[in-house]
Amino acid sequence: MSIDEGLRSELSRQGIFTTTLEGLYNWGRRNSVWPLNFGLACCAIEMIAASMARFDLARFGAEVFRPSPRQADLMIVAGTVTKKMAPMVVRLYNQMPEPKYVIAMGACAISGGPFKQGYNVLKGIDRYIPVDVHIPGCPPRPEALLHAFMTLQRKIDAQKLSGSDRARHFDAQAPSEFPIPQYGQHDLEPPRNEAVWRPPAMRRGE
Amino acid sequence: MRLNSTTLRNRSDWSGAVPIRPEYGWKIGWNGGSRASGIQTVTGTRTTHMQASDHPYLFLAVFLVVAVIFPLVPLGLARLWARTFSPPKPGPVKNAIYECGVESKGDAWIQFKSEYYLYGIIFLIFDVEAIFLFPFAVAFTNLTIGAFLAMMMFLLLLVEGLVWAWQKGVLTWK
Repeated sequence: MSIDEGLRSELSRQGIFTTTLEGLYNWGRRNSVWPLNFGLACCAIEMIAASMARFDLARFGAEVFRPSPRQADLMIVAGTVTKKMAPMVVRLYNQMPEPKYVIAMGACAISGGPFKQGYNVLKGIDRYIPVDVHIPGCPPRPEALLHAFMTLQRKIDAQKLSGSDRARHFDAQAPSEFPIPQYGQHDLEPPRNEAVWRPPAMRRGE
Repeated sequence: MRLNSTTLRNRSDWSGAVPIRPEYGWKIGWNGGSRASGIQTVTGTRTTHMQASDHPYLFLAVFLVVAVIFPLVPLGLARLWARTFSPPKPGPVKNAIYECGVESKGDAWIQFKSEYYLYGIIFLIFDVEAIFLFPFAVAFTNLTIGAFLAMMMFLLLLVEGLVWAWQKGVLTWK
């Protein structure tokens, strides 16, 4: 960032548009996010509605739902993640190329939702993969998904190309694959990925 | 002749070809014929310039160079970008064959039942036969007896094949 904001706005007032490589890169990235064509439960119906003409996700450049993870940038975890399905979700996420983003859509995907007490329900997909945007709601309306998508766009816009706080996919050492849980006798093994999610610590007497 | 709306409306002007002005001729003629010499007469000063007619395949060489450079430049730039900003991160799961989330078991190179192949080839024969049967049916009433017999022979050969396949038990799915 070599050009200061005052000079930039002055130039743009004179009709000269200036940008940075980072800004150009992020602008392109955020306006051509291809979601994975992947739904788990009723939230997927709202996701489909969001992609159709009435709510029109295409306005944000994200209408190209890809049936293959190898062509997708964004995974919208739309619905209840059962423990049986969790390894598949993580495997699909691992097969997506970097840079990749995750929107956890709906109460089930972020916490287990109304099925939280069920023996077979994962209590939030963020236990295994890094989630960028959480949307509450049961199910969230398409507008909520659009809001989540705009939030993700703002997040992509703020990503750095270089430096120590650069985005994960620019860092050769940062992980791209996350461990896939196995079916254990009573629960998934391991029950969570400690590098991604830790149970909230409860401290008494405060 | 200048082409304007008046001359275009007058159909008698269309009979003759519109003359090509010589300075619009190709600089590199593919046969080095009249067009290249047309440049010569119009400009008049290019006598020392290399004539395209001396190297009739020169434009192929130019095209070849452009055709190689044109895709290589963006590919090289993309490679450079990837090396600097987008380190590849392959892994066993990412490089797995199957991509629907379910782990693939066994080898993709398996033997497939050959029954389907026989079904397919018999279907193909009678599919092609149907193409011949349609014109045969349309022209049936005014065919000569020779053409009729030839068609019947063709049908007989195919039916014979069907009977053979039937007797071999190909048509029963096991």
